[in-house]
Amino acid sequence: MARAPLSSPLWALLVASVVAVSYPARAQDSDGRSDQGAVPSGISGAVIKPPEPAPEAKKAVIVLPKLVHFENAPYPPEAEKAGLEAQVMLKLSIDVEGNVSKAEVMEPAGNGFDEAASAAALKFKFEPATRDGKPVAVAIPFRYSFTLTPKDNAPSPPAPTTGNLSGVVRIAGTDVPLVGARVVVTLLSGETHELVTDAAGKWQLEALPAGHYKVHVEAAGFVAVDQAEDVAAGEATEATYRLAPQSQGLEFTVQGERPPREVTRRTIERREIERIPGTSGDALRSLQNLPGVARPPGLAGLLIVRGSAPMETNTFIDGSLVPIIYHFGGLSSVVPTEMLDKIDFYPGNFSARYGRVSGGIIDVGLKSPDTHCYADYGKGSDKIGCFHGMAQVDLIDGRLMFQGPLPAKDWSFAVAGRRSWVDAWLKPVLESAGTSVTAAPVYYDYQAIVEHKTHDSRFSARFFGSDDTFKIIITDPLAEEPAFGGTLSFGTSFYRAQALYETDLSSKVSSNSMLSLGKDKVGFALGTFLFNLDTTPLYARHEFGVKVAPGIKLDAGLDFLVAPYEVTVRFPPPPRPGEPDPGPFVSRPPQETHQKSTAFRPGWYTEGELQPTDRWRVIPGVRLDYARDSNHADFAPRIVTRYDVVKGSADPEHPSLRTTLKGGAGYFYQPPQFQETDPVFGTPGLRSQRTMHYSVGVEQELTRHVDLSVEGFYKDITGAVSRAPNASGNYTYNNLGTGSVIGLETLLKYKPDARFFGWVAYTLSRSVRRDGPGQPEYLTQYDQTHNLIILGSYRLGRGWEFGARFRIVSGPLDTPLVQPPSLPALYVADAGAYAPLQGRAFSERLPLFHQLDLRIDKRWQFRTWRFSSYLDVQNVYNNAAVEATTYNYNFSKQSYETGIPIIPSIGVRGEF
Amino acid sequence: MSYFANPRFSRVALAALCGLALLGCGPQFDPPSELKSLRILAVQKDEPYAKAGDTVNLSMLWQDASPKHLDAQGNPRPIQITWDSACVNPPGDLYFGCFPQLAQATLAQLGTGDQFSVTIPTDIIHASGDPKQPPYGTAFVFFAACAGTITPVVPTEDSPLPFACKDPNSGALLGSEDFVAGYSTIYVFNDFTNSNPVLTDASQQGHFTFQAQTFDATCVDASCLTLASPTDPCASPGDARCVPICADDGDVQKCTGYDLKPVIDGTLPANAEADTAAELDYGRAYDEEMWIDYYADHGNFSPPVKLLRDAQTGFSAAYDTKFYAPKDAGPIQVWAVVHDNRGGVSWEGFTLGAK
Repeated sequence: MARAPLSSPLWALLVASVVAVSYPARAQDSDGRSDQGAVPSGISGAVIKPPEPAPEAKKAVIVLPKLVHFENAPYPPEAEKAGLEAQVMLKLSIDVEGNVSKAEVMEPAGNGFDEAASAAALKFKFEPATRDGKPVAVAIPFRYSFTLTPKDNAPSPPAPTTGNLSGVVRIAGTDVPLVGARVVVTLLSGETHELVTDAAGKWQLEALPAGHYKVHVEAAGFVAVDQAEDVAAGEATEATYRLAPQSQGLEFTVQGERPPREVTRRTIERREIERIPGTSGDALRSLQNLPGVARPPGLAGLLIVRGSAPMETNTFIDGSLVPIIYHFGGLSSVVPTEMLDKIDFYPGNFSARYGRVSGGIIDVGLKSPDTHCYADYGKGSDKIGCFHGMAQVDLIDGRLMFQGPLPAKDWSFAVAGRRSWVDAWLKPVLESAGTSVTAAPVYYDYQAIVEHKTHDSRFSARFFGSDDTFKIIITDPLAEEPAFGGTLSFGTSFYRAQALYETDLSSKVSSNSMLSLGKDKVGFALGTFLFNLDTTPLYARHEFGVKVAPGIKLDAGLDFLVAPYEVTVRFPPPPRPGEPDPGPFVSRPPQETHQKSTAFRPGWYTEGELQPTDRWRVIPGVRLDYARDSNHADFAPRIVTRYDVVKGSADPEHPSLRTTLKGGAGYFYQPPQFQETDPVFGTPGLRSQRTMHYSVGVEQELTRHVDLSVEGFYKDITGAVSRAPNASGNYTYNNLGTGSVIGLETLLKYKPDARFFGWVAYTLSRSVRRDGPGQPEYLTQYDQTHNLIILGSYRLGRGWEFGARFRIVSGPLDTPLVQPPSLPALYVADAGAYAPLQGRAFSERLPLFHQLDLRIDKRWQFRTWRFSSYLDVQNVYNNAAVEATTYNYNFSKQSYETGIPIIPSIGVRGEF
Repeated sequence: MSYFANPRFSRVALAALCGLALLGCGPQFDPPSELKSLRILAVQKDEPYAKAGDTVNLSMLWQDASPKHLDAQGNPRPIQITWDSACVNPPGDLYFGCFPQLAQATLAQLGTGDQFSVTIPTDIIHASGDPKQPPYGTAFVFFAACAGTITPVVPTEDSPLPFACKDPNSGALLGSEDFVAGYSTIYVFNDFTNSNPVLTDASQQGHFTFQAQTFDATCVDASCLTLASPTDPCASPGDARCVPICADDGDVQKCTGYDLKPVIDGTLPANAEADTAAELDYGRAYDEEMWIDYYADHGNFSPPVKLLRDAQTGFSAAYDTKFYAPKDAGPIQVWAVVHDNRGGVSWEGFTLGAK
């Protein structure tokens, strides 16, 4: 499981700490040009869960980050002129040196406030948070307020019988001043004065008549304080008020506890996912914009990672393998973005936690239900216990989500569902094309989560699944392939009942468990051909993490798969990639196999995390997998290391930009495909393909917002499944295939800020195979030499956002026909169709692919809900991108199949 | 699911999606039903499933619709038809495994003309790779129709066929317009049999329905091999088979479509066979799948292929197509070639006219 275990002290940090830093904005008009005479004002930082008695064994010495330098933000001039005030909620990432490495706008205010606040926050300096005396990186919410003060509020001349009343407001238990707290002083006459604490948490009233006063101090997220004060004539009364946090607050997210352990882990933030043009906001489709991921052909919902076949990349949902990642045609992924917490994508050299796969890993995490309460929707979140909902519809599907608290303490829930409605418009299209539609293409997916979350444990029960199905009768078969006629049905479905339990057993031992039971069904039928798979996979994962000593951590776990299955296949034997076209399906009698058995594939792994110095990290790991079906065990040692040549620092006096070198090597095994070991279609006894991954790279911070990463990788493949005719003339499979993939990935990324995000991703790669010793080497069908993606999205203000994506990618590989004097095809009398005579496999590359996609979003913010809409236009200039070569009936003429034309997609969404 | 990643499946799926207008796709080619060159329309085996030692007779229906089909004197150009039955049990039962054997054919394994006979070797049957399937063998018969001279050539990796077609006068290689090569696979079992579809009634007469009127077929199966030049229905006033010419030459968007279908009795035993291999070996009740290829030497059909019998839902009555008239007047030869998915094939001809 990829979820980073949170150590006990950090959990204690979550629940026991109170962090509130608050400073005002500097006078936004220091030169006095403001017609409002604005003065510095500010407001509180936000805080989190209250101290709760933690179990004795888990107590750790926690020291929270302390703000030692506050940077005043200039008041945005236009906002000031317009008399606008705002609060910007930031999430500050504070590194172990107390520098703010990242200031992310959580709740934008627009009008220039977001940029001003985040820019200023990056110049903050903290004393770093520590745990047991050791600095730890944390992320804290921080509310930066901009307020205007009337310029004509000059104090009245003091009367001889008056005195002054002033105070400072601090966070209880700390010396952190509370910025922007509201102070109400009630005079004897009943008149009230309202003030806001300044950058130092101070406030002051002068020339108050001597007497008794009531002082009320309040701040969002804190328990208000009422106190009586006496003012004596000619004296100044000073008081300190300490506000305790409310019992419910924003969650304090600790991050950076587990620095990257992989050579390459790509993450895409939610804002990026939702706004990447050409993806309709779909999370998993956004992966296709990362380096190392090839552009899939046409409407194929495939993920091709570093030149590996799609089946060599596995997708997990919180550690449970799922059989598909996209609904048909790659229209959308099987889990909607709204239900995702994270996507971890490992294109290679991944952790020993993952096995039985040699390409890449995608581990999707479902979110925890959101029960925060918003005074104004999307603005602030100091309390929990509220319900939220979302409804969205676009041209492809409609979806609903509802989440909120359950009556029992610390329990919450989320439910969501989605159904496509392409059947509404595709059915007439299909019928006009000569098909009788029994069941038009439709997909749906669903997710339900019930979660119990406390400060040191999390239990989550889920039920999620997906279903794609259609059934048509093709009454006009294709002349080129008469078998492509008659009843055509297709369906894939899966569901999982899953339980997660994460807990800290002590300050040094954590435990993560996952158990899932589900059902996978894949069905395909065309005429007399069929493929039916019905399996009931049980996945069990359990991992212990132990901090052995300072700088040494050990993770050990088991990863079991037990899957009773029943499979029926009735097809002509398929050709392997690179083999000549075997002729029309209908001309070849099908073979059939029916297998009913139980796959048992246990795996064990252990992984160390060694930190010899604070710059150097080494992660060695080993994994042992056993497959009862093939009776083979695979032992896979792996190692990854990262070294910070320069540690990044945001300290204005000693700024530095991070430079990290990284590398890894390891064995990865891919068990043979079902049909390759099937006694009818394949050859029992095949071993796993072994792939050695090597990668080296460098990460360089160019600015606080711009990162550059460059990685070179090489995969050495041995024992690849291949096949050749045996002495009796039948084709048998073997493990004699070899191959390699070599490449370079570059990512220049502007990290999301209040206005903009974007990146340039470029991948250069070459993927080759050889079917056996002495056989010629050929490019695989998944080879894609160049892949350049440029994308960005910019917030224009007033709820508008505009994004663009441009891609230039090497054309797909194609197998050309033979040359004269041979004919290009043979007439297959039994089919009445032609079989092409093909030349060297994948030896011709089709023209370059290029495409521009644009996206415009508009958001309307209401007090309690939000409405948004988008227009996502794919292939804006209607480039006829070549997807494949097409031929006439006897292959004597050829042309190109082109991909999707310009396609606008419109969606609307409401949420509360 | 890697099965569906193989190139043929991808190509077919892409073509299907193009047909359904779900992709941008490329330009449309002339439909296969339009005969504009030398074409082989069908090869019939009198035993689609044979037995070891049997002699199987093959007949070829071909048509030279090339604009060059008449020589300077107005005579049809000669077409050389050749046969080669030297390939037995190639690796994987795949045709490309035959190429090495073809060049080594003995004289007895070669033939010329519209018809050819092959004697199945008595030792052809071997065990199947599928333990549930009975022993079987495969005999491949290759054939070619050449508007020139068929000449042996040395195969290479880029040109694997061991023969070519050359112009007898210039020696130039002839391409797909004037040269067609192909193969037919004879599956040999101890027990299984299969019949060719039957297109005739009890009096051995075939029929077509054209614009809701029923007419006799011009020919059926072997009688079509010696078909004389058709009589133009437009020569007889009021003949419903005579349709107006269309200046857009069979364009399905612009020309009028006329309903046409052969009359096929779906209840005849030969037309209602079960897929015995599926049923006996796996207990799977499938019908034999059947479809019709339509051809015309002038004009056009849409759709050019129609499903006649679905493996799961059985006989389909809606196997009619539409004929679109050519731009030139004259007799039109129409063919309906009925296939089943176990090597069976039959055909019948019909004559229309345009004026």
